[in-house]
Amino acid sequence: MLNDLLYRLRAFFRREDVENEMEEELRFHLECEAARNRKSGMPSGDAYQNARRAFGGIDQTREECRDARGTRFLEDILQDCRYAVRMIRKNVVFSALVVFALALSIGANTAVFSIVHEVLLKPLPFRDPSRLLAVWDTYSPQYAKIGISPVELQSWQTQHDVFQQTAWYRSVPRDGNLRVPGAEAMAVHADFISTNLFPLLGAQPLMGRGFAPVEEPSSAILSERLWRSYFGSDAGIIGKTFRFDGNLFTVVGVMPSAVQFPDWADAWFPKGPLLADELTNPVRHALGFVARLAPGIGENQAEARLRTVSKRLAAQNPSTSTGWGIRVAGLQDDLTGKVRPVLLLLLGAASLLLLIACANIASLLLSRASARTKEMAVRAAMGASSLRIGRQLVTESLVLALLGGVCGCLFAKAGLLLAPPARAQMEPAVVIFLVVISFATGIFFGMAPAIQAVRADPQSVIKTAIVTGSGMSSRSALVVFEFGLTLSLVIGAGILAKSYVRLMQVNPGFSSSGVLTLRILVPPSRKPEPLFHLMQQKLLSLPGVQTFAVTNALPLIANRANASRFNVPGSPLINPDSLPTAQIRTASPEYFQAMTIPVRSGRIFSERDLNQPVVVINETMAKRFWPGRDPVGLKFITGPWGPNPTWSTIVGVVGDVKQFGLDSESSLDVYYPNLFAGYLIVKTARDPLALARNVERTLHAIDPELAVSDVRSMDQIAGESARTRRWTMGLPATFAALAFLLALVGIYGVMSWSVAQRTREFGIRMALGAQRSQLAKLVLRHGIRLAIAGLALGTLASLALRRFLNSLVYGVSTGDPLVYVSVPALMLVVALLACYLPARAASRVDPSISLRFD
Amino acid sequence: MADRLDLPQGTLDLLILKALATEALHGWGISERLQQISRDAFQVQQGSLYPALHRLERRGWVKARWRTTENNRRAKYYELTRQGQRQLEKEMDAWRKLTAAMACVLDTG
Repeated sequence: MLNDLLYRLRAFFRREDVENEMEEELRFHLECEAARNRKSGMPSGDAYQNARRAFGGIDQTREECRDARGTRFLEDILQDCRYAVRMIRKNVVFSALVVFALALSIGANTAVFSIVHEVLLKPLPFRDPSRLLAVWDTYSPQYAKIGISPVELQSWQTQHDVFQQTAWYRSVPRDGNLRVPGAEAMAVHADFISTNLFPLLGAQPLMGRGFAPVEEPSSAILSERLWRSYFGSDAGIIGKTFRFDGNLFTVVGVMPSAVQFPDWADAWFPKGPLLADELTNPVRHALGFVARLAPGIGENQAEARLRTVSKRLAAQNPSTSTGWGIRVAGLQDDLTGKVRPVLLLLLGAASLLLLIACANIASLLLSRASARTKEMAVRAAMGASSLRIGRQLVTESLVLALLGGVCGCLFAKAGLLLAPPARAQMEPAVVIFLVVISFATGIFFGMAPAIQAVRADPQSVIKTAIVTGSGMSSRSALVVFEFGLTLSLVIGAGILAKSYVRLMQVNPGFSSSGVLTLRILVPPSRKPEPLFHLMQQKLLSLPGVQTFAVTNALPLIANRANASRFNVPGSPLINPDSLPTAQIRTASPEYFQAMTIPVRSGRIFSERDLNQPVVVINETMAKRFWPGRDPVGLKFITGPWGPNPTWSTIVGVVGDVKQFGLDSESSLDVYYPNLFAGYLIVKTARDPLALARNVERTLHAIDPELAVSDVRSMDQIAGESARTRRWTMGLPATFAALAFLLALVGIYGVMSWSVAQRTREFGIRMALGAQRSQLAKLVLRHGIRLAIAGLALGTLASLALRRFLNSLVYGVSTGDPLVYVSVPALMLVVALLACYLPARAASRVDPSISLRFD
Repeated sequence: MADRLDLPQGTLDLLILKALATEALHGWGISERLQQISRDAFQVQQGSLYPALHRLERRGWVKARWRTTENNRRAKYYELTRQGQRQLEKEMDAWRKLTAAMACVLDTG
């Protein structure tokens, strides 16, 4: 076996040596034979002739020897490749076009795939990640995913037969001020976790240790990110201390960023005094739950068990359980569920683009192949088998495709630099994908011309130089296919674009112009009121500042955790077992003015309202619970849920604000008058970002321990909140535009090719009295028939595929009639234009020339 | 000799191995040896030796080495490898069995 391989390798790589040796050997044989013949008395001329005769066909022997080496296949491929390169160099412009089209579509696919691979396909960096489960609560209708309660945790933790191990973490960040003496404070997201969370995930610390089963409450694990940024990658960090909101913690370990969980955490603490009632209060839903399935237990069995347990719990506590449900998912699905439809959409759009490019190139190659029929016929007549010719053509296509793949790789790399998740890399799996799709496209678009060449009968081709119509049907089919695919891509992009436009027209309920926002973390020792007044005084004295306000959460990017239940006794909408929740906003009196939130009724807060049981509610809440009435002056219960609830008086109603993004539904909002500074709002008539440095400096002058972060204008926030939408709209739209261009080139190519093929026919028609305009119509009618067939196909395909858009559109039906009518109409008009030039060419055929043709 | 036999398919390899069983030979030498030992009974096109030799070399049954002849010419000599030796024995054995069986069938009748 090894001998065989070595022999073949030598024969292939030292081809010249082996050839020379063979020649020498054969010459030696003939000379020996001739010498013997001479010895037996033959004249020397005859001696050599006889030797040749006895030997047999020497060329045939040579060929058989080459075959015997077992490298024939490789040598043919090499020869094919050399020939392919020669053909490519002979048609530089054509080849460059093909490579460019391929590079764009392969590049798009590779870039999208590398993101898909990174996010969806690559297993999580944990031990045996497929056995990990995430469980959340649901509370209809607002919350599809909310933390679990301590009651649930306790009963789930004991299901040892379905769970090998369970762990909890605080599902929303505990934000605080982290500080080491002598350095500026930094706002960080901390998380409380059960000590077994990292062991359950199989996550090993970068340095130091994880939490012990029973851990000191003052121990802390840092994220690699925080360790590098704030602690300057200090190698001696283990055992050092820092303060978090004034409490002293000791670093016991650093977690590498690869196994960061949850992804927002900067530091992890074990259960301790900073944790409030998350683990004890049965109505809090603030815990994330992760479990490792017991061996042999499937996700469904675990889910069934949890549902049974939950039902039992619900029966025990009917007053707190109505409306609640659970959702169980594999950890990976849970973490990526939100982006999955977007990524799959992008992948789908990119593959459509690739298919269209393939169809286009195939039809280009077909028309070139018909120009090369004579060349092929000559090769066939010289003895090349039709399979051999077919293989030659496929090799040419493959070389083009691989060139396209290499350029596409560069495009993909460039594209990934622009894409938001920059962590996607050209990993081995991605490179394999790239190579596979390059090969697949090469074979796909090389097949059509190859099949045509294999079918061609050399005799008929040589005899009649005009082959009218041959290859026409396959080219037409390709154009129809291409048009159909393009239409579905363009319709999809059209619907997404329309949805994006709708989204941009949505009134967010406030004005972002001139608004600067800053996130601020105040050490707990500071009193909010004096701090607020100090900030107000200093900031308002800055040039350009018009208004200053504070709030606990910003619109568009608010956290759903800032919510609380309320009760409107007497309202028919209230189910005492399932109280509605409202979004809780604290606001200083100037907030509504700074954000330009309109007052619908009553008044906004004044300084006197601070710490009084008064609230401002939004329009949706007013209309929902006090329909047809002005609720100003009325009271409702805002908690606490003990024997002595607080009744709050409504002093005003303000316009709705989009709390969770432009595409979010209207929430029920309750504003409380409060000077708590979570976010600062600075309104100016000028460019808000130009003010940022000055504002920050002023704040640090007031109190160096204020941790300022997320300094952004409200316009930036609005832009970022629509970013995902912009990508889901922008990329498919780009792909669709490229596809459209390719399809136009395709139909133009087919029409001009068919006109060129039919020149003689047109000449005859004209000689027989056809009008020029009739010929033009003939061509146009043909083109339109192709376009309409493609468009019909594409409309059906789009209707079949539209459900994939369901989760991605806003305010538009996925079957939007305007898009479904206008896009095909537009494409038809443009297709007509593309056919116009060939049609005009047809009408200008000169019969006296075309009939003498050939 | 009027009725020389065409070689049955696959027997050329066996004949070459047999010719090389005693000593290393070059291509022409093998063709001479074959003529000799078969007493000109077979019709072997001399050229067809070489593809067969190269195939045997690839399989590792013979080994080729360039040496000088008595006349001081460079020539490619083939010799049997150990593997080739085994192959020869195997094929001879099979051939004998086949001919014996054939003879048996043809004689009883």
